[in-house]
Amino acid sequence: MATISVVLKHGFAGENVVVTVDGREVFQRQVRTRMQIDRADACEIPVDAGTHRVGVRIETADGSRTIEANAEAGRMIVVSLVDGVPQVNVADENAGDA
Amino acid sequence: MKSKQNGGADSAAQTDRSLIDQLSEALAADALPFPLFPLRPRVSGLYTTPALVLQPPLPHPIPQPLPVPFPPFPPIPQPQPGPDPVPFAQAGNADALDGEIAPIFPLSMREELRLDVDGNFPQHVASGVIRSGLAQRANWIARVTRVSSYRYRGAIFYKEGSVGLIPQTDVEIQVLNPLTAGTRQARVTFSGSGPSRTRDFRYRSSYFHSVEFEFDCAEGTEAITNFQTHSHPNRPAGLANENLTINTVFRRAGFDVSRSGGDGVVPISGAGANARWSDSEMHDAMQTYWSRFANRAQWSMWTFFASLHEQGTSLGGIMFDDIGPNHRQGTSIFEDAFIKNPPSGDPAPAAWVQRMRFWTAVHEMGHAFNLAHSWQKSLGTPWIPLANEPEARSFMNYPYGVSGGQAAFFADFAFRFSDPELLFMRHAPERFVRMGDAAWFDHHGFRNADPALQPNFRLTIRANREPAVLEFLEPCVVELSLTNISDEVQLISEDVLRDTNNILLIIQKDGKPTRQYVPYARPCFRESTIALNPNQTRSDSIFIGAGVNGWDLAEPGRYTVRALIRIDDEDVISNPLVIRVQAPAGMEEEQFASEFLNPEVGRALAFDGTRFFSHANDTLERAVEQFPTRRVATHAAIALAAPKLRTYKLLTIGEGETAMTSAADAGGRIRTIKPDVAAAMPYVELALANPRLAADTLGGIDARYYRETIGAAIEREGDQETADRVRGVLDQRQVASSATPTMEESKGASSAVIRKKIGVTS
Repeated sequence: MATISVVLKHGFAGENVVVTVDGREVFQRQVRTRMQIDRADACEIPVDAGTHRVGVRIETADGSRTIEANAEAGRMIVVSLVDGVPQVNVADENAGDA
Repeated sequence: MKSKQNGGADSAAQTDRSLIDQLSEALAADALPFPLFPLRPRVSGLYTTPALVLQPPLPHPIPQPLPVPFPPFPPIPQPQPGPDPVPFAQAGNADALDGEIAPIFPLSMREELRLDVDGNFPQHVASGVIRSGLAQRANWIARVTRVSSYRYRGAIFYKEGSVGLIPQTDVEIQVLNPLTAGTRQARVTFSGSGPSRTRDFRYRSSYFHSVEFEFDCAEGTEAITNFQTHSHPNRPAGLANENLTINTVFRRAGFDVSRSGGDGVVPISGAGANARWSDSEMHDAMQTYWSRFANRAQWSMWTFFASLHEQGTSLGGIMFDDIGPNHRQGTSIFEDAFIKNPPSGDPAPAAWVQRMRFWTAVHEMGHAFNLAHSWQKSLGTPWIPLANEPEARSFMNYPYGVSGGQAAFFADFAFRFSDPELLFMRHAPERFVRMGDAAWFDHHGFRNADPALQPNFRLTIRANREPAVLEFLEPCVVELSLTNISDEVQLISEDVLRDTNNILLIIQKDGKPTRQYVPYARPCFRESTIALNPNQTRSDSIFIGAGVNGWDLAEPGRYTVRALIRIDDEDVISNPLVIRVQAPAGMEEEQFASEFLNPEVGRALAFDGTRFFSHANDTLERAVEQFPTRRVATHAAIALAAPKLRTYKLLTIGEGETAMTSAADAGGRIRTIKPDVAAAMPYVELALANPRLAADTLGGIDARYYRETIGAAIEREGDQETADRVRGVLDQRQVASSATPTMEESKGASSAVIRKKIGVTS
């Protein structure tokens, strides 16, 4: 089965993150960016072929922000927090971290 | 069981080195069987001095050296401009700048010189370490230029540590006998401020440091430790065609690489049911399978080749070891991650994959040397003013993160680290680079704390005297107080302040990396919950003089100690406690330190004595005899008295056994040693007869504890009068001077059970 990867990268400092795919919650965790891999966390979600709606909700003490993107199976959703503002990119799966 | 596949690793490591490396090393070592000329031998590498006795013992007290004015640091030229270069951490000289009398009993002064002017990727730098006596160490770095044949001169731009040892601002280095390694020397003259000083160094190695690698594989995975540089057509035009190994990469970075000889296979069962590896599973595997694993800093690291991390195919590798007190000892490479997928249409896909796996392995190992990613250089605690290098063709940059992507990166990648990275690896203070030493990336111990917005508790850490100034060799005891500052009753574990599994203690000496205090033992308490009313406080003491990490508060200087306790989901962080450790009172005390500050003595003090470590007992006896008026004698006396006052069960095993067997089969038996009040009393008197001194150094809580437990032990032996005297010795005069709330105040407990220390039976 194909997967969509969701990678949480820069700027996370203990926020609670909820990931949904087509409205279904698939991931929920408090995350913090680790400098040695420049990422906070990641998950791989098995999906059927085709395009899916991926939502990422970032919850802090001040409230929550949600960002959404469409992604095809096999793609990678990369989410970062830049000055507290979530940014999302749909990336080639070759661009992982190390 | 670990498979020893590579028993001949050292010989293999020798044969996989490139001809260029062998030639250049032989050149440096004058080991070629043919004439060198007109080749110019390289003189870079490590030089050392023998220990130098500077002067006879000085009278006490010693006049304090004047603080040395320190010139501003000029910026280091950077090959790539980057935003916001971080200024130097002016770690400075805690000993000389904080008003403390510096320990200036320079029994000996040993120095190292690292000359970096030729050979692989020369940085045109000289650096050095000066060690004086036990407590003083200074690092310096100078940019140098060649002024004549084998003569180099330049300004010192970086000083760190006990900078009073190097007041000068310039160096001039003349290499003597440059053609023959065996007699090569460097004559270094320090000048520019203060008196000039000249020292001769002997050539030791063409490398700057030594390091040891161990490569282990998960079952079914192959270690990728080499790459044929011309196997992929996308490469720099001038790149040498060679079978490049990881060892060679780090040799060119200046390290004398050896292999542990322990390379082997880790069973896949270590990864759990999902066959993917989590950080904690890899850390467990490292502790089990790395032949060199130890809870200490060492120039040695473990590299683990596996299939996948639990985060999946998007993680190519990780320096997973930011766990525990000794970071950066282990790294992993995940060969089935994205790094196995070449771009579509790549002309040499197999070579591309091999190159990415090789790059990943060196990249992760670079993190173990405390190298950050190229685009993160300006973040974290600055060890040296590195600017971001987002376009660097370095092992520490992501190939697909540069302009033009991975194709542009590899077209210009010379399989090396950048110049600022090499400067750091070769010349930064050793503890910033060495594995297991400075914490990964930054030195902020509470970066990951999660304090509550509306806290329910206040945690206070204090010493039992103000200001908190410890004598040299005085073991450190701190007291923690937890107060309910909410309006409601809070339920807490009865042992919340004793459970060191749940208490994080961070110690930072000024100008040095943060260290975590790790106790010798972790208790396991039966869970028991108590109520803490609003404004009620609960207190206890913790001995932090020595632990698994060593003697964290031994060197003279200024320390900051903080504690963190997790209660439910709330991280409760204490105030910072500043502790100053004084310089030795004399040469005798400084000499004694090398005997006293060892693990056996540390354990004897932490566990209130031992019958097993006889050498530790001998050392404690000497502390009492030689320094009866110093506070160390109080602690030593307690550790000598306590085992004599209880029925002590000692396991003895016959000598001569080498094979692993049970203690019973080895002839072991439990020997019971009866209490001996008469033998203990001189030490009890020494420790407790002066109530103020006892409470000052043991802490109010511990002083009461010892009074009670020792008195009870003497009473059990039938000497009621002495027991009463010991119990009463502090009653009227001292305890009131301690501002620490007693446990009786906080929980109304019986005074008979004030506190149980680990390892103490009553």
